[in-house]
Amino acid sequence: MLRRLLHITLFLIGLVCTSGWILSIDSMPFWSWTRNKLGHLDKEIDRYDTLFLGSSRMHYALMPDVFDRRMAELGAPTRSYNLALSGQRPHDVDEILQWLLARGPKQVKRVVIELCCWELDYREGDWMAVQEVEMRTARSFVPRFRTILAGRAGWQEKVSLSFHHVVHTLVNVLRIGQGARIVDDLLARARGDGYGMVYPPVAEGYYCIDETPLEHWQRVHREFVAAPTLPLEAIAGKVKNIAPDWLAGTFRSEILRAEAAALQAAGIETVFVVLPEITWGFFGRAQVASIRDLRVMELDHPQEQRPIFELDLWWDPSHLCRKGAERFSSYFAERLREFESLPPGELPKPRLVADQPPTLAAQWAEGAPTLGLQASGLPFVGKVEVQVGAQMVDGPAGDPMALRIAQPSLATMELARTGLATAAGSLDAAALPKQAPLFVQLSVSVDGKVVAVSDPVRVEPR
Amino acid sequence: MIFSEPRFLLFFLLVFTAYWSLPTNMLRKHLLLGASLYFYGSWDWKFLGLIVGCATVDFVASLKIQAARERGEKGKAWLFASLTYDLGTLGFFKYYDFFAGSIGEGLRGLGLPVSDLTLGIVLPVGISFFTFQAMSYTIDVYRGQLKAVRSYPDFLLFVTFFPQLVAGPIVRASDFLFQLDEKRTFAKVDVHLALGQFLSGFIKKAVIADMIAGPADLVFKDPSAYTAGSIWIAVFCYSIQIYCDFSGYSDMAIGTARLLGYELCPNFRFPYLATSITDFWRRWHLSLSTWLRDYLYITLGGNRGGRWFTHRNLMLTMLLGGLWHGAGWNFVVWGAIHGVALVVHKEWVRRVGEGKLPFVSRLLTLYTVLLAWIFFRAADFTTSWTMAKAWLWWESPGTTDVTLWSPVPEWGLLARCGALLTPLLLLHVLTSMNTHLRLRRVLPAWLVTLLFGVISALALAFMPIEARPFIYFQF
Repeated sequence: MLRRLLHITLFLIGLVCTSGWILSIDSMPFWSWTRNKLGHLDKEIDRYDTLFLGSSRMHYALMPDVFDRRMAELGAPTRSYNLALSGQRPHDVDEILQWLLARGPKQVKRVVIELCCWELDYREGDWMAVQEVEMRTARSFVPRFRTILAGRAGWQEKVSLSFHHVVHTLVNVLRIGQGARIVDDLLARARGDGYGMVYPPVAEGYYCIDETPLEHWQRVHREFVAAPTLPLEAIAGKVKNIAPDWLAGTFRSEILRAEAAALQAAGIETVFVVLPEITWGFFGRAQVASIRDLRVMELDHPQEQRPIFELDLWWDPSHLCRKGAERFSSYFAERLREFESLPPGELPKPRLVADQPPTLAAQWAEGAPTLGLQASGLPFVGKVEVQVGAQMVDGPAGDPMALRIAQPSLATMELARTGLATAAGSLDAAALPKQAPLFVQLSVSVDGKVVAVSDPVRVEPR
Repeated sequence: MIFSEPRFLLFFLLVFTAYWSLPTNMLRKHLLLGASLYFYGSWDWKFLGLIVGCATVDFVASLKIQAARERGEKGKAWLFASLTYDLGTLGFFKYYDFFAGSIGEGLRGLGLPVSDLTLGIVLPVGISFFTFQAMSYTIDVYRGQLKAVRSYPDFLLFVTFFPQLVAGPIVRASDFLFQLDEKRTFAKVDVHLALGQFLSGFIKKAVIADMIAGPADLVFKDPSAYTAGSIWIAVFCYSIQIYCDFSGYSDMAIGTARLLGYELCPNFRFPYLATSITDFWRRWHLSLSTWLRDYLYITLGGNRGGRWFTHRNLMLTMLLGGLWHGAGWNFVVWGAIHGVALVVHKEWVRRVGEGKLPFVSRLLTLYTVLLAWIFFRAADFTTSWTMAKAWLWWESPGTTDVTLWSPVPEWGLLARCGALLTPLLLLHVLTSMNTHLRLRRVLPAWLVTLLFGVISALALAFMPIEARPFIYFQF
């Protein structure tokens, strides 16, 4: 018996030591499309001072050239690289971060990490997908297990997830099936070519979802465009803070803290960001609030991040299209500048207004002294009021919120909201002058403070 | 579930542990039977009835034949019933669509309005192997070479024994059934020998065969784009692939059976070093070639008649042997090439004698065997003919060089070919020479175990992440 045990032990020693040696010579352990971005970064790491990590939402949202341009305009020039990857989950991002830190980046000053629910560790029905395997290291074995155990899945699913986790980790740690790739990499390195099979990323790591040839993304987009009321309802739900219970996923704050500490030790500033999304994210806001001291930017509140919640900026409920990415990259630069000037835990002021001011349309009703009023492009929250005057005046210089209706106004009325960004009402104009034109202007106020005004509208006599 | 999959390794680990934990031989046999049925059912449980049915018919028929023999009769009717059932099952599942399709095509070619006669039948995995195995048993009982076994579970285990169930070796009842009655202990198992054999097979299949399949697949898919050199490389690659794939499976099967205390017959003996085509068939797929010899060639009369009678028997045996591999005319042509080569060799031996010019003879044998592989592998006759022309007359149908090992694109085709093939050929030779046995003689046992661990890690690293099914599973 003892002899058998000795032989089993010897066999395992041979196996483990050899696998360990293979691991040690495998300097680019990622072999899915991850290689494209990482392979490029490995060669050019000293060109960049700001890196973005995260999932497809970041991958398709952040245009480094737009971000850099805006940062330069704001007086803080950057050279950024979008290192986010489609399909990345928080544990995967952690792996990338470790890979990055192991390279000892000298120029990188800031890393922006997308926050996401840790419970999303597995892709359903994607058994043996490359990304499922390549990110599972011995280091992340226990943390990922803890995530599975802490999740809200039933025990049967937990058993299944645990089994997959063990097998995937074994496959990756033993480098099963990767020998030829490792030899290729070693040869490529020896020739000074960088890693083999790397297609240099275009646009500093940004990929435009509009140009995707993948049928999955095309279908998702068609469905999104075909039913515009659904996203509006989703945003309305978010504005009212109605979060479905099932969305409260596990949140591994200790790993986030460890990430921030490791980056800080390397002289790199960390910013966590909750990216905008039309549907609900995967964790409750209370959970985000609990780690706010870690410098978390929350950009998923539609009412507070109004400029990036126009439907034409979105490809689907989770991803921005090219137009949206352009807007977001610039917007993000502005928010980041504001955010970094604040002490930890504080948040920048909300932006309740879209880039364009609300619009107001006024039209006389037929056969009745009634002025029909229609407003659109409104902030998602606030009281919508209309003032009617006989004259228009110049407002105080530099105050875009000033009303330009001569006071006292002839009439004031509150419009009823008819949708997320629309309102309407009818003004009884019997008492108003009939022979002269009228001027109408809309304002939106939150807690008594005007946050948006429309351009004044001239209404010709009836 | 295939031997080079992690799933099988887990399955086997469980069976192995449970098997040797059981106290009696009877319980172990029942466990093996259950495991074997599960193994076969893991492909498609619906076909379990087929294999169990086949075993049941042959079990009953052999008992009846035995009883008839004891009464002084032959029991021919029961043999006929058994063969009809086995061949009928094989014929329906494997050949119905082929013949129906060929007849339909022929009739349409004559201008007759015939609709599609095929049924789209799914081929049950391993059907050619288990029907042949069961048939040989009944024939042996009929010939009086074997006594009918009285234990149904034992017989069912003989037919379904999972290490050799789906791709052989085709085990003879006389070699296996007596082993079921032997008392076995784990102490008697030569673990080094069994593991070494399994590991050899694993390397052949998972590392060599699967890695070398790429260039062959590429060229066989559309040879018209490639140079004659590329076609030669593809044919070489396929030859190595099919040998390593099949002999790798056999090695793993033999190693697995050994770990359970059973011995299976060897199936290969360096076939590409054969000195003649006759010698090739004494080295390639031994369990099939001896089966064909004993149950077909000899039944047809063997070489008991005149020269032409013997040649006819040889041709018929090889044609049917070709058809055994697959329901397709390409397999028939493959069999025909071997048949013609065997006839020519017989005539050569008759006129010139055996063992002349051994080196030239080896080369010529290899050249012929590889030519035949073209027809075996190609999807249609156009492809076969295009490749055969390149093989025979160095005729390049295209100008592209086959992609071999992309990281060194600046190297010439020959250099890349050498860089890829040399380590694989070396591995091939090492594994085929039973290096593990030699190692055991010169190294202490503990070092061999340690080396097995090292080799296992390297083999796992160099196997493709997605295991390819064994080529012979389709037969």
